[in-house]
This record gives sequence, structure tokens and C-alpha cells, in this order.
Amino acid sequence: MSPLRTRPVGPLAAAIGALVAALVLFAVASLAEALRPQWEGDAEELSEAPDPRHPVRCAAQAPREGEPRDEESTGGGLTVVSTRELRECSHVFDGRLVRVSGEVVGPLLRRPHGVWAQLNDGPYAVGAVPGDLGPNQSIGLFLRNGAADAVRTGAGRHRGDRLDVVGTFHRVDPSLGESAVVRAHQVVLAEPGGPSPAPPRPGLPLVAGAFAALALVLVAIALYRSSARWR
Amino acid sequence: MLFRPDVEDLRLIGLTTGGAVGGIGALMVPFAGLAALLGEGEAALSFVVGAGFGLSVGALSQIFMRGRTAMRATHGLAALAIAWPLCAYAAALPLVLSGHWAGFGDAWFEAVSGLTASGLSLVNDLDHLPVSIDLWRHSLQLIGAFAIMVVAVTVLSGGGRALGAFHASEEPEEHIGANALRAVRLVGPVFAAWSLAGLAAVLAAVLYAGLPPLAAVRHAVSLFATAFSTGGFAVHTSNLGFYRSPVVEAVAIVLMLGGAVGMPLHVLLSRRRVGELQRGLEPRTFALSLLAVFAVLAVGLVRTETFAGPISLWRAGFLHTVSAHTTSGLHTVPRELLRNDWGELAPIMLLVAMGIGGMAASAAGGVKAIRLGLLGKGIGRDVHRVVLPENAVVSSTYQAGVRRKLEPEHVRGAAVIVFLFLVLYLGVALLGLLYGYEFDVAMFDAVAASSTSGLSLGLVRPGLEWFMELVLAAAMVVGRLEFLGVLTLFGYAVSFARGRA
Repeated sequence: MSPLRTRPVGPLAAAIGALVAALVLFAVASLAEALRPQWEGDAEELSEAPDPRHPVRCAAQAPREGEPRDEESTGGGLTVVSTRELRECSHVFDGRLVRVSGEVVGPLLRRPHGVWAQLNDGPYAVGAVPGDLGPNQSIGLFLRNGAADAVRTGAGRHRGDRLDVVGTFHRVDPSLGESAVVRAHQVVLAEPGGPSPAPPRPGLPLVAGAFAALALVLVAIALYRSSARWR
Repeated sequence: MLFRPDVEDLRLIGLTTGGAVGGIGALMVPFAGLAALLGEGEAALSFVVGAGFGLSVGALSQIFMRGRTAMRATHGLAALAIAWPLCAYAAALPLVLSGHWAGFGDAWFEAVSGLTASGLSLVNDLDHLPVSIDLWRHSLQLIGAFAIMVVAVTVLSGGGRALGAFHASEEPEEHIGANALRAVRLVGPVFAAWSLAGLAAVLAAVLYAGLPPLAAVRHAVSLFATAFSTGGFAVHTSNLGFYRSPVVEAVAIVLMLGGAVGMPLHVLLSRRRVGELQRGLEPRTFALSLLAVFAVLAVGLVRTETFAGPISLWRAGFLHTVSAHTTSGLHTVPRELLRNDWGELAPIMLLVAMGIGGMAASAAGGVKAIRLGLLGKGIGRDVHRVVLPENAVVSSTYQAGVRRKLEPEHVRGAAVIVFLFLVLYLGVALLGLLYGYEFDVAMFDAVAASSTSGLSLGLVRPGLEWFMELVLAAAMVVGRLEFLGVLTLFGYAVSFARGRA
């Protein structure tokens, strides 16, 4: 409490003040929600946001601590998998030949012995979709030098090339020590990338202008009063 | 006798809160320019909306709430508890307008996570986030880390005057305004020095990792912000694993440790008092705890046969131990593998490390090493008392800048905060259990949020239940402020209801 006591504030006045502040905050939040990009059509079917309560069912259980691990399996033929299956059932696919398909995102990391890339599948890898369908699903990809020369990667409003990759999945790469990677043996361009524009938002410039004008006026008044106080 | 807060109390709290929100608004102005420069027109407009809101609130508080009474510690603490979520509100406006968060609640959670330097994220399609928006969320971590260091130095050591006497149960100083200015002058140069050196080191590391120069600059800024602030946000979904580089990981480890070092120790080291590293109770406790956690975690990984060789085990194991212990949350192993491929012991040790956290007055969260050290000292003294004859005088000392006598209230103060943290960890985990999450997932993410760590086993994700989201956000703020601000605010609420006029 301040040492020089002024008029105390009653619980009702405090509650009303808090309610008014909450209403203002709610109104601004609602306005911001209304200004989010609105996509046409139903994108629900694309959604596959992972939930830890519903894990992917793996062909075999992960070994418990202290139990011997199976040797890395190299047989079993080619398996078509999603990156989520690879991460959740890493013990099943470790050392196996797999086929994954997805978009290359982020810059490529060029090293003397090859190129590192991030491959994303899931809803965002298929084209222009709403940005609220859950997190990206990704896996590390190691390509031989030359295999990624023509690959265009995705970032921002640009979708990267979609690649079909056949390679060996490693829970932990035996030579490089990296976790959850696919060493690519064969890479095919499935679909070239391109721009992925968001729907237009005509209201956004208006609201931005209004907020900017309000701030300018209020800051000017505050500065004027502050300078008057100094004088 | 309990008095109701008066108009002057509310004015001071409102002025401080409004000033903080105004500051966040002002910080968005250069980001609007950056977005325009990068050709991200809609992001630029989103920043204008956020800046307009923040600056308006700041200006309104200056117009209507200025007075002549000086602010006291209780006003500052109550303002902190309100300002943190309100600043996050303003900071969330450009996030929600980008369309990458499912709603305002998710964007607010992200901003709270940023400003508390937690690093838990609800972002959708992170890999296509506009660059300016991504840099903003990374910057929030640095802003939050700087703010918490200033707050800690202001409240706990009188703006750094009593730097050597810094510990968990120090009485708050009353001259809060002058102390805050002194604290900024103390923290600012340390922050600036680390920023210059850290940015240069990260830039060199990511260039060496193979990033093209322009992308390297963006990644260096983001990675420095997230590592030194002990945040945990990342530019790409694969987090630190994106770089596939031991050099980048080594630089990140140094920065995370730098962020978890308390400001008093930074200042003492800058004054070449290197002996404090060896003698100080807090650095010794932190180092011992870090090594112990890593040793047990390594045993777990060996038993699980997660890694084929010692080098890859050491690399991943030590990085994740440092990340958890500094409450950073940077990781190279996907969360699914942490849960399914690391056995039981290793994730439990990460949980323990997150719970302990870094040092006091640092960017790190958690219980803090000094409290663990004081508890250990207290237990040691009690054991001595039992072993020695009844009339023997048992006294104990510890080093914290200067040699100090261990008083019972030091141990009691540390024990109270440790107890409150344990209650917070268990309470949030219990809610997770009620929502049907498995115990390991609920406990891990509850500790991660409450200790402001960014590691997760999957509970925190887009689509999280709104009440769980709210509780986790509250846990991040409560953990960040170490209960002080929130308890003061609670005191004000009780005074409104039951105090005398």
C-alpha cells in the first residue's frame, strides 16, 4: 500500500474496472480473430494433428529399458510410410528400406560428403491449405551430392518441391550419429513447388490504419502533457 | 490490519503495466519495417495493429495514471504479475493475424511462452511462417529473459547494490524505481557483451554447417535468441536437429549455460573474480547437479542401447541434459524418439534437470541451484547437530559473492519455494491426467511448463484443450516469477474483498 493513503477502492469498483478491461481485451482479440486468413472449403479431412493419447500402432513394441534390442533389420522389402510412423515406430523401421514422400523445406545444408534437408509430409505438403492444421511432420533427409542440385525448397508463402524418396531409415545414423534420418538412395521429383498465396484480407489495412492513427493521437497527447509538466 | 488498496496503489500498478505494454508496442514498430523490407506486406500490417494497440495502452497509462508517489516493491511485484500476460496479449496480435495459430488463445499462449522464455509452442506449419513473424517470436524470448534478469536484480538485490548477498530469501528493497534503473545498467552490458560474442559464434557455426549466407544471418539471430534466453523456439520443426552439426550444438551449449548463469556471477566474473566459480555455492551446486544428471541419463541410454557408440551418446545425451538443466528446451532428437527410444531413466533425468533449472537471477527457470544448495547445506547442518554432542554449537557458512553464515530463515525460504514448485509441478500434471494423458507425458510437460523449459513429450501441441492451455500458460508465468508476483497479486485481491476502507 502507498504510504500516503488516498481514496480506497471498493470491491465493486474494482470488479467493474476489471470487467471493462476484460471486455476491451475480448473485443480486440475477437477483431484479430476475425481478420485471420479465411480459407474456402472444408479442410478438416486434411487434419491429422497428432495426439499423444492416440499413438500410431507399431508392428512391434519398443524394447523396454534393459531388454536387448533386435539387430537392425535390413530385409523386409520397401515400405511406404509417413514421417510420423517413422518417428513413432523408429524401432520397427530402423535400418529398413522405406519410401517417403513430401515437401523439402528450409535451406539445404551442403556438406563435402552430401546434403542435409528437412522433408515434411502431412497436410501442408500438398499445397495451399489453411495454416492451422497442426504442426509440421518432418524427417531428416541425407542426399548424395548432386541429388539436390535442382531442388527448390519451401519457405514462407512458397511451397517447396515434393519429392518421392527411397532410402534407408536410421533411428540413429551409424556413421554420423544423427537421430531419425533417411539416407536417400533414389530421389524423384513428384511435383514442383510454387507460390502458395493466402486469401486476401481487405479489412486488415483498414484496421491497421485505425490502430496506427489512434496510437499516434494518444502518444502525441501523452508527449504534450509530459512536456507541459516539465515546463 | 488489512487495508483496501487505494486509488494511488492502482494508479502505480496501472502505470507500470501500461508502460510495459507500451514498450512491447514500441518494439513492434521496427518489426513492421522489417516485414515491409522482406516483402511480407500482411505481416507488416499485423505488426502495425500490434504496435498501435500497445502504444495506445502505453500512452493512455501515461495520460491518466501519472502521479507523484514513488512506487514500492509490492506495486512492482503486482504489476509484474499483470504485465507479463498483458504484454503477451499485445505481442500475440501479429501472431494470430498471421493465420498460423488456431485462434487468439493459441497465439497468446505462444507469446506467454516466448516472454517467459519457455519455448513451448502451439504454432501450425512452423516451416512456412513469415520470417518477420518468426523473428518476433524469437525476440520475445530475449525480451523476456532481459526483463526477468532486471526484475530479479531489482527485487532481490536492491538493483545490484547487494550483489554479493544475493540469495533466495533476500528481503525486497523498497526503492524500486531507482533499483530498476541500476539493474538495467548492470544487466545491459552483460547482455550486450554476450549478444555480440554469441551472435558472431552462432553465425560462424551455421555458416560452417552449410547454410547459405543470407539464411545464416536469420538463423544466427534466432538461434542466439533462443539459446541465450534459454527459450526453446526454433526456426524449423526439427529444432536444433535441423543443423545436423556438432559445432552448432557446441555453440548452443555454451550459450545455454551462459543464459543459465546468474547475473551476480556474470558480474563477478567480469570483475575477474574467477574463484567464485569454484567457491560459490550456486555454481558448485549447478555443476554437480548437471554432471550427476548426465551420469544417470547416460546409464539409462546405455541400458536402452539407444546409441551405438559413446560419441553419439555423449553428443545427444549431454546436449539434452544441458538443455533441460538450463530450461532451454532445444533438442536434436524428435519428441517421439525421446518418449519411445530413450527408455525410462533418461527422460526421468531430463524431467529432474528441468525441475531443478538454472541459477538465480538468470534467464533459466525451475527451482534454482541456490535453493538446492541451501537445502543441502541445511540438511548437512542438521546431520551435524544430531551427530555432535547436545551442547555443541553448529554453524555453517556458504559463499555467494561473500562468505555468509547459513541462517535458518535462508533454509526455510528455500524450502518454501521448493515446496511451492513441487506443488505446481504435481498440480499441473494432475490436470493432465484428468484429461486422459499418460503419467509420463503429463508430468514431463507439466514440469516443462512450470520450469519454463521447452522440452515436450507431445502434450503441448496445436489442438490442446483450452483449459489445459490456460493452466499451462499460468504455470509458465507463476514459475517465471517464482510465485512472488502472483502471491502479491493474490494479496491485493484479498485486500479488495476483506480489507478495511
